[in-house]
Amino acid sequence: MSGAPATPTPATSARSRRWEGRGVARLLVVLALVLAGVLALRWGEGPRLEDGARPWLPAEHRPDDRLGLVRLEIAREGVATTEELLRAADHIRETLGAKWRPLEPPAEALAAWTDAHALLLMPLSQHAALQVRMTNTAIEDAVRALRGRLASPFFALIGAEARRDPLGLRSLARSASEEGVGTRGGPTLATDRGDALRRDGRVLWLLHAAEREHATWEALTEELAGRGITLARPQVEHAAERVPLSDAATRLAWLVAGGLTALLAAAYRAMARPLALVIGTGLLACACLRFLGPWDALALPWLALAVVGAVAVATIPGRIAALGGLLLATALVPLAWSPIPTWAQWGFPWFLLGVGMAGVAQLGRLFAAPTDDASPDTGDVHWTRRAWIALVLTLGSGAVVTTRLAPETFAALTPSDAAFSPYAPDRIVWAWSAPASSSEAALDTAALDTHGWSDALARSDVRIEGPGHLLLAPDELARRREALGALGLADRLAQLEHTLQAHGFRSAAFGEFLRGAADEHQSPSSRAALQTPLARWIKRHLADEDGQVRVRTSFHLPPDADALPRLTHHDGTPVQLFGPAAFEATLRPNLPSFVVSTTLVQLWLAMTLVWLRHRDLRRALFVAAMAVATLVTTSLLLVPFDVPPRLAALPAWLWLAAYAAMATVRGLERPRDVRGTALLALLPVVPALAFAVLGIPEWMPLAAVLGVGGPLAVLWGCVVAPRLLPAPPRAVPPAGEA
Amino acid sequence: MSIARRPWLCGMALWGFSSRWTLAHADPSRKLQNRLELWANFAGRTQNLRAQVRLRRESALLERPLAVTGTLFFRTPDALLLRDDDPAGISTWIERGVLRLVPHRADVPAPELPDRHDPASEWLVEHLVALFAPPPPGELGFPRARVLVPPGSGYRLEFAPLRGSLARRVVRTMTVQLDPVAGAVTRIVLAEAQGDRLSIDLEDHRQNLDPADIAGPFEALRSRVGG
Repeated sequence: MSGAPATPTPATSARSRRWEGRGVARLLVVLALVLAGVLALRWGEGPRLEDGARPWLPAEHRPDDRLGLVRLEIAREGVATTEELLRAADHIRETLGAKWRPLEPPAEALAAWTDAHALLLMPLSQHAALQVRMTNTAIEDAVRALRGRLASPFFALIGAEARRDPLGLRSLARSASEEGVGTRGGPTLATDRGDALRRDGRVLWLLHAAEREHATWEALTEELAGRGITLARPQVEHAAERVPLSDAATRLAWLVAGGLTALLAAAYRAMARPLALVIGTGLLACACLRFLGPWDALALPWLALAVVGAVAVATIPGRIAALGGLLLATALVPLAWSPIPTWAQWGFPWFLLGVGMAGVAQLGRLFAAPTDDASPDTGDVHWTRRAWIALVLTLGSGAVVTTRLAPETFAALTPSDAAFSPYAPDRIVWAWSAPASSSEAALDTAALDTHGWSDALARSDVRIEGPGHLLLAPDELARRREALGALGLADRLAQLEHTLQAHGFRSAAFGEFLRGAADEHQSPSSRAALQTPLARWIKRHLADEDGQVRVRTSFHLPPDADALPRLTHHDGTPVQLFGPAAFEATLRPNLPSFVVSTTLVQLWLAMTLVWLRHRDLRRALFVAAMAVATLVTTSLLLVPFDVPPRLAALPAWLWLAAYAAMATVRGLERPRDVRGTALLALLPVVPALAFAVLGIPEWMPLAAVLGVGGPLAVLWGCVVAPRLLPAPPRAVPPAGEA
Repeated sequence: MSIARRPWLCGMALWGFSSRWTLAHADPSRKLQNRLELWANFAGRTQNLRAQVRLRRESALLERPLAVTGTLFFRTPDALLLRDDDPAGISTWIERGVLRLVPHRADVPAPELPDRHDPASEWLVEHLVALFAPPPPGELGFPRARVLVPPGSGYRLEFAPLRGSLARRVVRTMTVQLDPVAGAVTRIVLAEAQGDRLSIDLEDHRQNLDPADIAGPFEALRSRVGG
């Protein structure tokens, strides 16, 4: 422990006496810190961290991480073939056992189901077209065209369809059959077992529940690599690419603690005060990590900022320390009303944390050298013309920047979804059916919804995936039977048979589809579907919570989709969509107004605090103007670095505004303290550098804002502000006032 | 020294049999190379081609096999048109790897084809065009097919999708008969996986006609369907 030597003036002699008299207090603080450190290490279960991608998403919008995708790809052409890819999938399926899940409806089972029920699944709106296709002339033309196609070498490609459906009726029913579950025309083909095969036969996707041992996957990967097939698990690989939050938290703690200690030691040319400050706030931060939480990648930087803010408050004159502490503690309170759950959760606790942290940091003053906490240089300030001009210019440029504000949402932070394509979580949204008391009832409700949705989305590229397409609710089934009966189907089938024979066809070779359609004992009911091989795939879409069953229907959005589908349930209520894209879509329209209003609330809070402390509205307004000036100049400086304003950085912007307010308050109090000014300017750079090097994507925007904005805030607050708003000379206060 | 008649006759018979056996079991790769060279002899000179065709399809859908006549047009590098003479028939048109089936009657809708990258469609398009197109210089290979000389008489080549290819779910084999002198393709037999068999007999080959004569049918189709 060392301090600057006291000068032999009467005032400093008095301070020296007080400095020496603090020995007991210092000893007690050191003992308390040691004790707290020991307790912190003994108690608790370690830091309560919550690691995971997309920490900004509310739970209901998060993709189901209990299911994992496996991607098999032919690595070397000629060595492996599609058949071997399918065999590899069989092998994985055997290894996974009950953990395997059908990603798509098994192709054979689906074809059998849709063949048997296609006419019933055909929407009533298509019945007029159906009637036209079953006139004598239409049947004659269709059979003639079929005969014409037989001469093409490519008949094999279209023949199976012609054999099953010589009149092309399936195209009318398509929206209600394969198209409905997205297996036709989509980027993949369902295999007979229920996996998905890319159309070129080189990539196959499997779905599985939970995780098997890492060793099992390693063995499978190695085995398949020998057969020219690569095995990838995109979720696991993305998670592995991401720096584990526990590692990042440890490094962040050491980097911030080390950086602050070095900076404070260089500024004070002493070790006692820096160590007391860093250890005191660090211990409180560790206690928060252990006993509060859970802390995710969005919340953890707040803790680091709380420590840095508390240290900054401890370096400003004690007379304004309470105001400074409150300014920083209220910085993120406006986020309590944000739609991001983590921010909303920490908004108010942050205030308490900030106040507590600043309070602990005040203990560092016990170690301050007598000159470090000298009396303020100035008192009241008076307004100059320059100050008015600066105020108008700042607020004007702030308004201009606000009108041009187009912040990015969190989407830019999500990892590339190429490895997941076409099952990228960011391109899939889902809707839940109304809860029902049984699976059958829930599926009936989903069927009513889905048939309406497929009509609404018939002209879009959105793929609907869910069991509702394959089913009909009892009332709807009766209606469709009646409508089909009115078309005289049996008579038309007899005419078709006659025409086929007349053109040299064997009528027995046709009509699986039509025979199935004419069978009155077949019905596409939910009960029947749950007794087919499709049941496992259907059950994957059911969620049972306390006996209330709901059906999940997913919408696969095309890559260029910029808006979500607007849908209603069968009873007319609007459909609420879930998923990352749905959350983004709810954020995006309100984003500029949310950012601006949050910032305004934060500035208003800062102004109120300054006004309450000084009872001077003009000073409060000036402090807010310096905060706005900081925000504007920071955003302008970030433009050349191509750092767009990102929502992820909003806490950093708010904290920066509060920091600028605090720096202005301090600058107006002590305009001539160059060392303190430099220290304040460099303090935010410490967490900025730590955020920049730790590799957590959510922290990079914070690093840019803090690294550039921190020194700017101090430049405006401690260098420019005192020159715009000079204080009148006042008498030197009596010794010992500090 | 005299040679007895019986050993002499036996020796001659043995020599004759062994030479015939040797001929029959000549090195198959050599035989395949000869056939490919014969085929390349004609195809390598093709700038354009017109031939009369007779198509015959045997199918489980039909009471009796279907037989129609038609015309095949080819022009380098990759345009092929197979047009049958049935007024209710269809034109099979391949150009730049794109397949189109165009019914002769304008009021009949074109059948819906699978995706361009469907393995079977891609394989058939590639190999049907390759039968008439000049092979790349110094190359006689078909990397996406298993090519062999089928047993039996005649100058024939058999093409099959590679083992494991999804194209095998539609096409089993494509057998080609060559003219023993000129090397022109005289017959294509397509064995389909579902059991159908399509044979296309080509005759009256007219090679390297005036390009305008060949362009006509292509342009007529293009003006009808666009593209």
